[in-house]
Amino acid sequence: MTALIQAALDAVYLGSLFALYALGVAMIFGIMRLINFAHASLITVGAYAMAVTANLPLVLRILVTVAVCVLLALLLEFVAFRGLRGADPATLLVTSFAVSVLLTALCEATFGSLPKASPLDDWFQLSWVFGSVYVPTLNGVTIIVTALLLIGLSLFLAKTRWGTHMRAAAEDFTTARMLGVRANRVIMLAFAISGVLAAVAAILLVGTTGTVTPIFGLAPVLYGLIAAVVGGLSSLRGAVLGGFALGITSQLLQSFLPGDLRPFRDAFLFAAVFLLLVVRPQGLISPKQGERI
Amino acid sequence: MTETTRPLLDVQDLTVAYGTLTAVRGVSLYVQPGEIVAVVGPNGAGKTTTLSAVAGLLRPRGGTIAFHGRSIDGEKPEDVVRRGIALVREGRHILTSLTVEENLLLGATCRPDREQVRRSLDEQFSRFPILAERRSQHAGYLSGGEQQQLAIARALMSSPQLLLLDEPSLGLAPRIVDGVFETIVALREDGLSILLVEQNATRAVEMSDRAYVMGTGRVTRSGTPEALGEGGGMAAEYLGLEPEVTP
Ligand SMILES: Nc1ncnc2c1ncn2[C@@H]1O[C@H](COP(=O)(O)OP(=O)(O)OP(=O)(O)O)[C@@H](O)[C@H]1O
Ligand SMILES: [Mg+2]
Repeated sequence: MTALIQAALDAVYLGSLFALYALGVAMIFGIMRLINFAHASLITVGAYAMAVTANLPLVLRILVTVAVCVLLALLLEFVAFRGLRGADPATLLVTSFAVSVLLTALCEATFGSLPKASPLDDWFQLSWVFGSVYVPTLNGVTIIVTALLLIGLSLFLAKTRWGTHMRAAAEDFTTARMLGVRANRVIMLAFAISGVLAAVAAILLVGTTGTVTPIFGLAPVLYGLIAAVVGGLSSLRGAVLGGFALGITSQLLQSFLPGDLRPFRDAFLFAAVFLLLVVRPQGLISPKQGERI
Repeated sequence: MTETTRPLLDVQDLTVAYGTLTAVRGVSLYVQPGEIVAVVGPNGAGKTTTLSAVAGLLRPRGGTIAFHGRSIDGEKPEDVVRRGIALVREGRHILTSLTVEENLLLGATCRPDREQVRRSLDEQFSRFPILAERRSQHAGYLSGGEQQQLAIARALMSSPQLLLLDEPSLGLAPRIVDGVFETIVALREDGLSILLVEQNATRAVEMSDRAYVMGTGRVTRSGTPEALGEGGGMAAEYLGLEPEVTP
């Protein structure tokens, strides 16, 4: 029983992280039909912001990191993507690759290619103990922070004026504009939110790794992208669902695969993804059946 | 025709192209305050393209579009609606994941005064009672006729001076079509100016003050319904059974 609860908590932890990554990708895709690979760079730069501010109090580090990621996201939108509105998806994807490669090179030039220490406070390394179940503080914090972000984001989208504008733009951008929704404003808002999501992912992730390299954000965004596709790329709910599905499956394989098969965990995971997409190419949630967001 | 007032909308020599295909070539038309102006013509004549250019969805390749004497060509759709022009597109384009009320409020995005927006919302609900009944339902569940009412009501929420309607009767049952045309007449009585594109040519021309007949990207004839000829003559013209006459 204890082992089961332990495995479940670990699974939810991984699922939360994947959901954060997936949501960052889906946020931009929903509005702009852009698969934003440069989201990886946002996460990387966020982690470097944590490294550079390592001597400051945690609250300040978090604020700086969020600010840096949001500003960088807005800058990318303005410099790289604004001129490409309405371009075909391939052009957008290639541009986001180019931006990502450029920023990786910039990080390498600035900070070198060796891992740079970016530690979180020691408090995060402790564990919460419930009877015989151990929850590392970082895992608990990750789950709680993700849950709060998801709740906050859904309330924002459902209840506020700007949230309605975003939902409208995600469903039909042209119609939303004709009704007076300003294209620049909703797109900038989507990028800003993706910046916040990248910052939070970076902060939580440096908690486990303790260091950052120029390709820090790459793996998370790959997983995030896969999770978003699994869930149904153009629905935010789908992205979250896909994130949890991928994280939980991955952790369950880790816990319950026989020892000699464990090194092949990701092979099993992606075989499952492959199978799912053969059966349901549109992902778990398809916009035609329900709402997009 | 004596032009005593400056036209509300004045389109001169409009040319619009999709890539290499020129869909509208040198179209001129105008709408006076308080008029219903019909634009009719066969499939592919360029009616939708013309309206799209006026609403800012397409950038004209040539010509001018003036509203209240001010040039608006090349403006973004979100700015055109702020000037007082609302377009109900062909196919209605209801946002199905939003509720009826959210769709309507979205139509008032450009209006800052919440109190006035509330009042507009109540006006739409009394004009289209079915929308009041369904206000908190997802708009995807509405029937075609209800969606058309929602599309018109949503456009009215921006409190426009000029309403552009693109085939509002398309795909609706005859009884519902009657309702749509009654609504259009009622709106004009409230002082709204209307530019109406219709496949249902005879009927649209009959209810209009003036009409334009389009064929393959050009205006082939224009004038009052009487001048264009009633009923059958009109239909023949619009089906292209008579040789084209330049206006
Ligand atoms: N998005 C587009 N891309 C390329 N060509 C287009 C596009 N939309 C319309 N066209 C072409 O432009 C021409 C005019 O089309 P338009 O839709 O304006 O005609 P219409 O008069 O509204 O016809 P209908 O009565 O069928 O609605 C047609 O030849 C059409 O094929
Ligand atoms: Mg048309």
